[in-house]
Amino acid sequence: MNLLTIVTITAAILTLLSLFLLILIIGMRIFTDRSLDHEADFRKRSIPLIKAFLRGETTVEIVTPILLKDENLALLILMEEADSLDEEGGKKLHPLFAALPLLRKEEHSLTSRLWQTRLHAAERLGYLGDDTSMPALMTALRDDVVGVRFAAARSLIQHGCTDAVEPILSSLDIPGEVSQRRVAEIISSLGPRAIDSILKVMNGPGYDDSTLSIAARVSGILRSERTIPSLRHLLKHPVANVRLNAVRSLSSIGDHAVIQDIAALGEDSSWEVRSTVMAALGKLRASENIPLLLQGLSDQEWWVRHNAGVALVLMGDQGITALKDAVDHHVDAYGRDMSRQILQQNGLLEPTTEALP
Amino acid sequence: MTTIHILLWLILAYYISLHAIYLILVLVGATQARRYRRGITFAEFRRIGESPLTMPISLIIPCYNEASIVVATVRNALRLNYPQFEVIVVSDGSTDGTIDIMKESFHLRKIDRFGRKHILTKDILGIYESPDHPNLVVIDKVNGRRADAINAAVTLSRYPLLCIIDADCVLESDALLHMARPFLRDTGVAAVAGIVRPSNGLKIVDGKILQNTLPKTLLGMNQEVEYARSFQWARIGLCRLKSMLCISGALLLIKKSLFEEVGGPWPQAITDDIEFTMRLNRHIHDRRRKDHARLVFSPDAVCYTEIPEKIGQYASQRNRWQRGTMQALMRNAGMIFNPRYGMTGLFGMPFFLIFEALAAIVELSAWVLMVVCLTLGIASGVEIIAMIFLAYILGVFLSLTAVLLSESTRLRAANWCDFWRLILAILLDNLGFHQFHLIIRVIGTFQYLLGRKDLGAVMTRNGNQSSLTPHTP
Repeated sequence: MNLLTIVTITAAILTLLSLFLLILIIGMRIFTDRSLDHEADFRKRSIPLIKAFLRGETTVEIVTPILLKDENLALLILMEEADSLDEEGGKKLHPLFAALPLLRKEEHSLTSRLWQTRLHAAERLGYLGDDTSMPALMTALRDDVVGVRFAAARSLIQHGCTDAVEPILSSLDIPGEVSQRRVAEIISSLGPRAIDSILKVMNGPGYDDSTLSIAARVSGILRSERTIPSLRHLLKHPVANVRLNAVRSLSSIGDHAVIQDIAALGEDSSWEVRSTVMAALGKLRASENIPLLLQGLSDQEWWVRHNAGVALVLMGDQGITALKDAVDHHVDAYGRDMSRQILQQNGLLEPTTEALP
Repeated sequence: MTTIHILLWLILAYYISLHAIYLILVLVGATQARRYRRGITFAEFRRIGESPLTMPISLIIPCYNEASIVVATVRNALRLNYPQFEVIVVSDGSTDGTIDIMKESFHLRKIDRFGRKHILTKDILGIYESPDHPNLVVIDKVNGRRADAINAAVTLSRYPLLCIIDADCVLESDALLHMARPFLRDTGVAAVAGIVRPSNGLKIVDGKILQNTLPKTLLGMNQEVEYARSFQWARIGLCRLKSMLCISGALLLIKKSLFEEVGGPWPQAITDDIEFTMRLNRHIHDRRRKDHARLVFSPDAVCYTEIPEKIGQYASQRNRWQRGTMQALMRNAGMIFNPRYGMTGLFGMPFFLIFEALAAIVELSAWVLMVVCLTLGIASGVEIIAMIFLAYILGVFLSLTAVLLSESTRLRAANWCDFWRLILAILLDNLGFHQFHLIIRVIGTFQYLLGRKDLGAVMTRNGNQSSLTPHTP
């Protein structure tokens, strides 16, 4: 076969394929436009009805037939509405969620081979599900895919399932700061109901470091005074991350009785702990620890120096005076620089006029 | 068979390989994007946005003589939906009053601020903060190119993630949320790239995108097609194949620790983004950190950048890109076909060399060869026309595939009028515009080989482009 034949045949095939593509694109565009119009129209009709239902101006029987015209889109709209409301408001939507015949389908989807299907099912069950869905969600906590486990954990907490706290902690015991943060956030959304389980973890034997870190973090987010003794105990934990979270949580709770325990970690081997200690002392307005904060201004880590400076400003006049004094008299050049920077950032000192190196 | 016929066969094979690889990349990109979308949960970005625990970001905007647009860009940046971030604007020795306009618009006051100096930069003349916007920092420094400005900003940044954008960039309000997501899910993610699209035609008021229409000129439309085809779908595919060798400087989110390890972008680079991405890949492999430092593409993070709609500016930009590509490849030539660098060395770098850096020379050679064949009577007119038509239809087919894939996303043409203009641009792309582009790139290649290392003419911003709200004192 010569060059011309090959080129001609290839070009002819590509021309036909291009024409086919163009027709396909036009068809797809028409289809997408129609879908968007349908969605806009459905939203226009259903959202006012849902809002009227929330105000008690209409009944489930009136709203349901409209929602059933496109149950998947209706579910999405109801989820959006539920998210824009507080917990109590969200509960008012339960009859509408229950009216959608999707519960069993989503429970079944939790066993799908496709992880994305399981992921979305786990999330939707947080809105659609009832008490009968809890066992399926508990099983999903052991899913191979971490994302599905997270979604199941969120849904269980969304249903106020306090029994799920421990299984969540054990199933999402994933190393890494970010994962721990995510788990702490999920559990803390349970509110004070999570405290008993958290105390059980902090006081119980056999829990690993990351679980203790998460528990400590949750205590701080919930600012529960009941957890103070356990957190004080964790300040002496050998793992830096546990100490760090204990310090952070104690400062969030704001009990002045723990100031000296926190200050004792001012020379901790971990700079992250030291940096958190400086921030905590500022938060607690621990003016008796100004010498420690001045010492922190010359720490080898930038964040420790920065947090020490910010903490001094938070102390008020006494701290600011000490900081102003440090601008000229601190023994360490880094300490002098940081004092100047913090004062200027707070409008307490005029900048120098010469160019900086 | 004569030597010329063999050459014609080789060129045909090159053309078909080039388009076939691009088609594969586009399709792989589409599969990846679909997979990504299916893995997004309903409330995911709301949670990231509301969480006080989301990793904070330092958003860096280097600028040089951008007085006409910098205020609007900064306003857009300050409006972004993200729980904790700072905006660091660096005026890299601007002479058009950029600093004065910034001072006036944001009531800046000078402060002394000190950071860890991991990377040496040109002198800083002043650092300013705004009482109105506590998360805004402005740095005035001696001119040292874009890379130097970025490095200076990194020195003074506070947060563990760095986002680098250009001074003419407009980010979609949720762009940072989309880009931060991979870091929250996988500690091994080193850097995230996003989609860069032309901003010409956008209607933006006070930093907020109100209307998304396409550029008005044919040159703008041609680039629109090119951005969708090459910078969107193909790059997602390249990323999937661990061959992401050019994260656009217009939108990059990277871990600060890794940025400092690599040493930041090279101030002498002609295109610092390409050179930095290649060096980043090299660093990841050299340190045997390939499992702990992945480059990811976020198909939902969109940044709009101004594209040149004047032929002279376009030529200057593409000339610079070509020289920058050559320079980056030369500096990292040791990675090409080197199994030590895995897919990046065995596929990405050779692809970049053969089908990006040398594509223009091969293609122009084909045109010259066809003229020679026709003149010497070696090939008939019909054969030459058939070859030209094949080259044309290959380009059309590839571009239509990109449009088809874009139709299923929110980046589709906003209305039928724009859609037909896009199709028209695809049909006209290979009838002059593409060939002009080739000539610019060939000139760029030779200029690089002859030692030209400057950045070319600075692109002037047009009042109508990107409709950024003009600065009103």
